[in-house]
Amino acid sequence: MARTSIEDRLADLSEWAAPTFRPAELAEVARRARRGRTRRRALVTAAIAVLACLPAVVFAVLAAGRNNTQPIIEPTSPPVSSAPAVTTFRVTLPGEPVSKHPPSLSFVDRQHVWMLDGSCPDAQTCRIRLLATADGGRTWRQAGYPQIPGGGGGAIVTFLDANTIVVYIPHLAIWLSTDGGQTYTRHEFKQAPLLARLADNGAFALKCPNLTGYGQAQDGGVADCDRQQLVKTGVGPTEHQPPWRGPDAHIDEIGRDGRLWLVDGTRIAYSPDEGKTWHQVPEKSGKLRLSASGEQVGLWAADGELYRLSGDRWVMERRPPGWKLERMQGVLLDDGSWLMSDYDSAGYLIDGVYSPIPEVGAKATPVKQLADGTLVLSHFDSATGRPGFFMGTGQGRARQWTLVIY
Amino acid sequence: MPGADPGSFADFYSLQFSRIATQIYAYLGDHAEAQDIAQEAFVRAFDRWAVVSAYDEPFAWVRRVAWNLATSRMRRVKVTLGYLSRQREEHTPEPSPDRVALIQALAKLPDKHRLAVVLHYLANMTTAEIAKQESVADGTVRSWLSRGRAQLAGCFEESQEEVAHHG
Repeated sequence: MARTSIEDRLADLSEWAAPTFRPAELAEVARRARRGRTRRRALVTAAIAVLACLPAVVFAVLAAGRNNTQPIIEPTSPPVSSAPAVTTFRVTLPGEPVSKHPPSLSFVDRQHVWMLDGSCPDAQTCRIRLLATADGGRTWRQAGYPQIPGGGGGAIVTFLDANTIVVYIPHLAIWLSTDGGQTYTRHEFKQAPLLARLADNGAFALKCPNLTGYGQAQDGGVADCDRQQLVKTGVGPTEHQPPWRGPDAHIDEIGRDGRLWLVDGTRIAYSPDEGKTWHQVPEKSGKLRLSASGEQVGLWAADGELYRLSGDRWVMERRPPGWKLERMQGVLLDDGSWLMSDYDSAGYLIDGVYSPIPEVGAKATPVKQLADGTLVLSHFDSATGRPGFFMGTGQGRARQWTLVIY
Repeated sequence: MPGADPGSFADFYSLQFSRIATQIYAYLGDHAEAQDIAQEAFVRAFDRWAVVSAYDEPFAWVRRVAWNLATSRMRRVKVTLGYLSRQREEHTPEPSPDRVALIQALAKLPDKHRLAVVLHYLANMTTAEIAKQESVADGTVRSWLSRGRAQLAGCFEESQEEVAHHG
């Protein structure tokens, strides 16, 4: 093997290993899928049987232990509607579809959503259809997209709000629109406005100094650094810097209460005043989950468990026995419950009890929570073959659900 | 499986299986385990093909499932290989000493560094895409990648100059 660089060694390993793997026959795949479905159905049946017997068992236990005092049974969680009404909108999008795949969606808030429908058969011939809605998906308008020399392959498009679009083309330039895609201005990486160079998902981020905003060394920025800076999108570095700024530190999420959360390995701290002061909470490794209000703080821990910050300690969430979180996603709601979803179902988890939402969960992908608290789940309507999304407005588990199919 | 298109799944499956399995192999360093995990990921994709095939990138969904399974299995101290896996292993050609050395060097990396190296160099994912998948900052992934690559380079006595050039 004459190759010596790491890239070449890895490429060599890949070339050698690929033909050594032999996928099972398709019939075997189908058989295993059937077996899995049968097992899941059996588990569901058993669970239903247990639930059906539960009242009788409880009654028998209460009857056996009855004395002069009436038992007080407190519900472990507030009642949840198991089949909420869903208002469905079937919409027709302007323009001709570009990609055979469903377009990608970027949600600004409950009203404003961007839809990007793109196809790049090769890097020189990209076709893009950009759409926007200002009424939660009921009506859509076609927005402009910049003319990019060379086709525009490899674009990274960031929607900062209902009007601001940043189109970043690696090795080329940045295009910025501040009028909802009507007009665009082109900027070289180093001369681009901070608004575009620091474009990120949140209002604050930790970035290496002098970066273009995307950390590509080829674009003239510093690709890596030992000490990052806290920057405010569109403004620049903040006057006060956080205590941990190493290469692994990052701002995880920003709750609506304005607190910034700083995570560095297992260390977690928050700032209530845009970075002037920082307060450390107990160490724990994982992904932070904040409710929309920011008051509820959860953690999807590295050990695969869910935790909630209670006072000055992390308390493990109870969950149904045998319940596996590995392929689920979830968000923490303002009432302390979790909305959990995988590709088959969605439901609320509270006090160790999981309550499915059958109408919303079917064919739904993992959930997102917008800054205004709105819940969003992608959807695929298998009857018509059309994609869509569920949107749940309201607070906690008291939600009004709409389904937009396009 | 209403709404599914077994024909398109067959194409997808035959084209992408070895790609996923190879990435998992580089991550786990275990050929049989990688075969099993890739197989399980595609079984799950088949079961949900009506939905998965409509996604922007069905491959990304399967890769995500496979990596979740791999990460989950990494956590377990004991890994039990099934009878069939051992049988398959017997028929697998032995890697050359150089490739064995690479697998061993990868295994010595911290999990996150190895993940970044494999996803970036073998799965051709950008640091931003890895960051999104892992729910961390882009800088974190760049740091994992930089450190993982430097450690690998050290194993193969690459000069610092070459590391800087590629980094």
